[in-house]
Amino acid sequence: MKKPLIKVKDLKVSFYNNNKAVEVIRGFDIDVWEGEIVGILGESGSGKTVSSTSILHMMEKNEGIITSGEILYNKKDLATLSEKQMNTIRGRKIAYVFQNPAQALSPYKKIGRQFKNLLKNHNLKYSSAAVQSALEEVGIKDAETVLNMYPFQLSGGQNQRIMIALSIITKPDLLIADEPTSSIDTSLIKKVLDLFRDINKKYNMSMIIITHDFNVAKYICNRLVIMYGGLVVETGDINSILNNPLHPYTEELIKCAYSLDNYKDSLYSLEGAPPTPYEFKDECPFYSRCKIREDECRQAIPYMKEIEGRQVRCLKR
Amino acid sequence: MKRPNFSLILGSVLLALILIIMLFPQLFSGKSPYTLEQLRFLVVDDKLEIELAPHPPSDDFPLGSDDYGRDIYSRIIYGTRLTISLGILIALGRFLLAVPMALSAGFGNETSKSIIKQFNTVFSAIPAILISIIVLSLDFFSGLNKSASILSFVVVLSIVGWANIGDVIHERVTLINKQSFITAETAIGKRKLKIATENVIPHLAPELIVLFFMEIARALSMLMQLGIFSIFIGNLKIIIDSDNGTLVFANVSFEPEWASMLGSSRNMLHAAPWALLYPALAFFISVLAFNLFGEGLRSSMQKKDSAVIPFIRKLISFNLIKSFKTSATSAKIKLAVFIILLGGIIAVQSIFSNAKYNFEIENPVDLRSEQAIISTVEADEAAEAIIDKMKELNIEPLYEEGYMQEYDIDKTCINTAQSFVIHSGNTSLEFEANKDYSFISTGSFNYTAPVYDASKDDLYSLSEFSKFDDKFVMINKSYYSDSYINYILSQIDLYSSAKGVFLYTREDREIENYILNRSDDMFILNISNTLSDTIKDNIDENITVSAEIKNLGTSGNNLIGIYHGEGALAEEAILIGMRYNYLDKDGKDILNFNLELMRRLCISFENKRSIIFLFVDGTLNPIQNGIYALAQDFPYTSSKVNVFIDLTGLNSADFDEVAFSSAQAPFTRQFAWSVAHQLESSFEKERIETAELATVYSNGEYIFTEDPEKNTLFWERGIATIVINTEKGGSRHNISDIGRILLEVINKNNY
Amino acid sequence: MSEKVIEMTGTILSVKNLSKHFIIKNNVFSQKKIINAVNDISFDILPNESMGLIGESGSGKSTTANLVLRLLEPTRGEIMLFGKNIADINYKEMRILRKDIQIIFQHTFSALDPKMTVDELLKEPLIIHNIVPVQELDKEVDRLLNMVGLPAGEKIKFPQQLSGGQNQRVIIARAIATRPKIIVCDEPVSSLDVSVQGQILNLLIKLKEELNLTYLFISHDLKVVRLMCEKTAVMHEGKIVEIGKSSEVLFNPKHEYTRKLLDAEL
Repeated sequence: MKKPLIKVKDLKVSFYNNNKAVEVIRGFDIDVWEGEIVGILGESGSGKTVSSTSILHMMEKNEGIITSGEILYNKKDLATLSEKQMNTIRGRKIAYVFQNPAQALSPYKKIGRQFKNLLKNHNLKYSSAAVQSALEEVGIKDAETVLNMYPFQLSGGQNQRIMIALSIITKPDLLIADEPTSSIDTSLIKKVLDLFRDINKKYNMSMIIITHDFNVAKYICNRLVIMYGGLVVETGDINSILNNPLHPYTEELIKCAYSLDNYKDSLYSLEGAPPTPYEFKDECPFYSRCKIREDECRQAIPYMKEIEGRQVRCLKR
Repeated sequence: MKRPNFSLILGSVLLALILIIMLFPQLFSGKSPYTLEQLRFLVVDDKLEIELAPHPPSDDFPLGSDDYGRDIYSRIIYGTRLTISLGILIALGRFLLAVPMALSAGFGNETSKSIIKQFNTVFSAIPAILISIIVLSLDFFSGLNKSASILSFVVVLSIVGWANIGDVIHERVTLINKQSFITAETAIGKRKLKIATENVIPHLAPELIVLFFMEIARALSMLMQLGIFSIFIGNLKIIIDSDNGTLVFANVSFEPEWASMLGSSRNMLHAAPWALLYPALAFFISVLAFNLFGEGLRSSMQKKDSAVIPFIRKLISFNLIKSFKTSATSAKIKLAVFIILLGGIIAVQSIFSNAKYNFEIENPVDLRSEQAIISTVEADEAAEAIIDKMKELNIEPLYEEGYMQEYDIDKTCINTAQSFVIHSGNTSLEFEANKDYSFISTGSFNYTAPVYDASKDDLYSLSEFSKFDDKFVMINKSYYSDSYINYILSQIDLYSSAKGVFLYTREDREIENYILNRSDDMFILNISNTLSDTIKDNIDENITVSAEIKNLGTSGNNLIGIYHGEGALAEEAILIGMRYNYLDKDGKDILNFNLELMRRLCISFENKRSIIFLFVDGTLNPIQNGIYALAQDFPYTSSKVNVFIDLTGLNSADFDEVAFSSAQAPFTRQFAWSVAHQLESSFEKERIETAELATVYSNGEYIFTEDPEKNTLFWERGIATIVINTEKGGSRHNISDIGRILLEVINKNNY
Repeated sequence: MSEKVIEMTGTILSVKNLSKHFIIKNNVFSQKKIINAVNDISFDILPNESMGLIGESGSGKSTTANLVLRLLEPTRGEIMLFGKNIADINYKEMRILRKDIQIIFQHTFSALDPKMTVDELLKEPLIIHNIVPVQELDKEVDRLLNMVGLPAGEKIKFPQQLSGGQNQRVIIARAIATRPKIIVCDEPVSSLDVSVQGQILNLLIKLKEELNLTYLFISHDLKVVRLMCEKTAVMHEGKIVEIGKSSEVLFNPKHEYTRKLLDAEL
């Protein structure tokens, strides 16, 4: 019944800074099935944004380079495609919703013009009815007026919705949303997430939601990929991860996230900070903060184990 | 992955080259940028050809010459310092206006904001270049000397050009101020000024450095445009033609500077394209160099790990030297700061390069006698003192026989006692010598006689001389020419037994004469108008005139020595003429000044040219002046003497104004012209008033100064002459000012 | 009447009828548009009674924070800091009073001058307000770092060499350096990672007790406000719609908008 839509295998990405290559993504694996919402969860610097942008070759200033791994989509390896070939996929087959509307919306063009340009780029016909229905779908009522406005005339929430509308108008197979809730108000988070879920249901559109917030993941995702130190450390379906985390990092993170709810003397927190790409070593990335660490964890980067249909990168499990 | 920063590399190489040229132009061009060669004589196919400037590029002139035959190549090389300095100074001036204004605007000062805005609006509506042209072409600006001209250029071009950069900086400051760490600094209670200097400027500074280099490029291209419109520093309009009653001016600058090269050769585009092309190319390359360097710097600073800002913060917290040693500042930044500092220093130095010489007479020579008059023992003593001094300074004699050049003079004398008394009834009116009267011709007599007033007689038709017998004859000189007066005097002496002649003239002239032609039986006196009026009032009374004289010898001695220069120019010489006769303390001081000047010229700097020191005898009476003798027998190749600076007319140590003449240092005599020009502007700078010596027309030709002895060397020997005279009366300046200026100017032209 | 009593007993910060209007003019032809960012709000903060300020973005909570610190000029109203109205004193007077009221910023990376070392950053407030003699500056910096849980060795580093959590500790150390009575915390943990948020909140709780501090705590995270504050004010469109004990406001809201906010919580 369900088919895998995209399969990323052992993706590695390096960035160049002053002639020095820095490996930012050391191992990124993800499977997205049709109609599924997968969350990528991690802290800042874990590599969650880079790994998802590298699927579409959208690394900043072309400084990032995929050094190995494959991205299988529709019988093609996206990792090896040229820029020109990628243009036919980017936005058309796989859409990307940026964290910040300013990144995606051109400030000098009316909303309607932005729709026209997008459709023209993908050789699709512009029909105002389709655009209006897309806008209505994301919850913008007065579509006609909005099409004649500039981004700065609209609120952050409205711009967020327009970005989503822009992403879904081409009916892509996969929608990647980078922290879709971080730049909007608490009171709107639920609505935006509901919107994503509605779209998912309606078009059976697969989604990758990048977030750092367990609550968001819990609310919308079917499956979760936890990243730490440029590596995927755990994958599995959302409920089993939340109820029974396998990786010590996941466990600690969940404790932190929910310690506000059951506060006693102090908040639970992890000491130390996650490693930055400059500090990456060939050892378990969580070694320095781990409570169940042993010397063998320092020997090499642990491999991915499969436990009860879930995967975890920890020697101790 | 990393691309080398080509613009920075190319920019630095070009800038380094420009810097070296600025510092050591002589390394690149052996030719003087001032040398004129309007005519060239070439032998082509055994035939002599005469070529008129501008000369096309050739072996002698690598890039050709301009209209005056000046070498374009060396003018470009020597002009680098002035042109680039000017660009740097203009950029500096603009920044001095723009940075404080932009900072205060960035911190919310409405006045500054609106000033920047208004200036921008005005100068975007009316091109800044237009305003610069209008302002700088005012006569006021074109008449300024070099320093004042540079200053006015910097001021005007800064004022018209700062707002643009001010706006850019303002925008940057506003951006920085929007960052939350600035709010954080405010929140801890930091002063605005401290926030500006410690938090804003360090973040602004990399941009400022970049903008500074760009601004230099902008300033240079503006200078270029102004140059095309004949507006450049040290601009001088000279009359080149006055045909049909219309004056035709040419814009000339004698300072080597690129803009002036463009301006003065723009009309020769077809005749001599090289004169226009190469200076323009020089501009182009340097504009490119500054732009490239700025761009390169910007891109290298934008790297995240750039250590620029911490370095600048340290710079601002006055730990400059420490941080230079210790901080891990990139070499590029050190280079940039170094270039800015060095450029600034050179720029300032090139304006105020006149290192001030102190001129004090340190060890005055002890001259025993109170007077030293030609052909007296005292004069010999003074001469000995001078020769001693010359020997001490390694000044060698020019004549084989020694320092002295002896020459004959007519028999002369000086009065040792004199009186002039009018016996009016019982009283006698006594008059003062050298004030009311002075002797032209004298002897040891004591005559008492009545006066014959010949001022009403027509002396042209004089037939009877007996009416003058035993009388003093009073003649109004103003009715007759000098030569006719001489004729009349000789007639009276010959045909009558007059006791003497009183000459007076309607115009009041100073009466002063010390050394006299001897006469055996008749006085000839100049008398003042007051005295002539008194005599007329007492026309029937007797007058007693008496005088005692002392006879002088019959030979004078010029003293001449040469101080040899070093190097290629040693053959060329500067001749400095001074006096050594004196009558009083003042005259003694002048002799000591002359000796000190000679000493200082020998020891103060390395002389490239030789200096010939000439002490002229007989300067107290024009007809005994040793200069004539010298002109007859000049012991040095005249054409090698670049200039003769005639100081024999320094008659007073204290003075109000200097009588100056450069009429005999014409434009074609380039070195002398340049010295004269600089002397004149130095006088102006020191606020010493100058009076041009009068030019007279006599015997069908112009004589450039009234006194023939001042131009003898020019007319007889063709030596360009500059005359500096001082007269008694006034004490605003001292002769040491002249000494200082001479030292400066001679040193400046010591190339 | 009750307000008077509070003032007598010594409020730390008392805000009365405070308003801030921004005038927006896009271009010469467009009409002036007045935005009432903060519209006639009043509240009192008593010693040891930290107040939370919650609301959506654009509700005026950050503007309020900037106003009580006089980082923005109020349009009208009074801001009484220890009984002294700081709403209309000049920059110079305010500069001195800043010692008593400090701020902790949301964006940890941009709130510190990136080109100053931790040591320089911490010495600055000490020197400006003359907190300790010059010869004891180094000792004091070490003490502050110790208080916020940073090793003394970190002081030679620049902000970008530190993690977000460490930077926030530096910002906190800077804020407590002048011995303030009240600290405005503007979303102090929202830019931090989940695993670090707890550290910072723990630190803020610890300092609150040790230094007898009072916070004006601005956050969109109701859970954090519940934890940190005795009192909560809810802002909506520039106005305070509900104010009272946190236990009341956050568990038993009266105002419709507060209820809406609580419902939106995930």
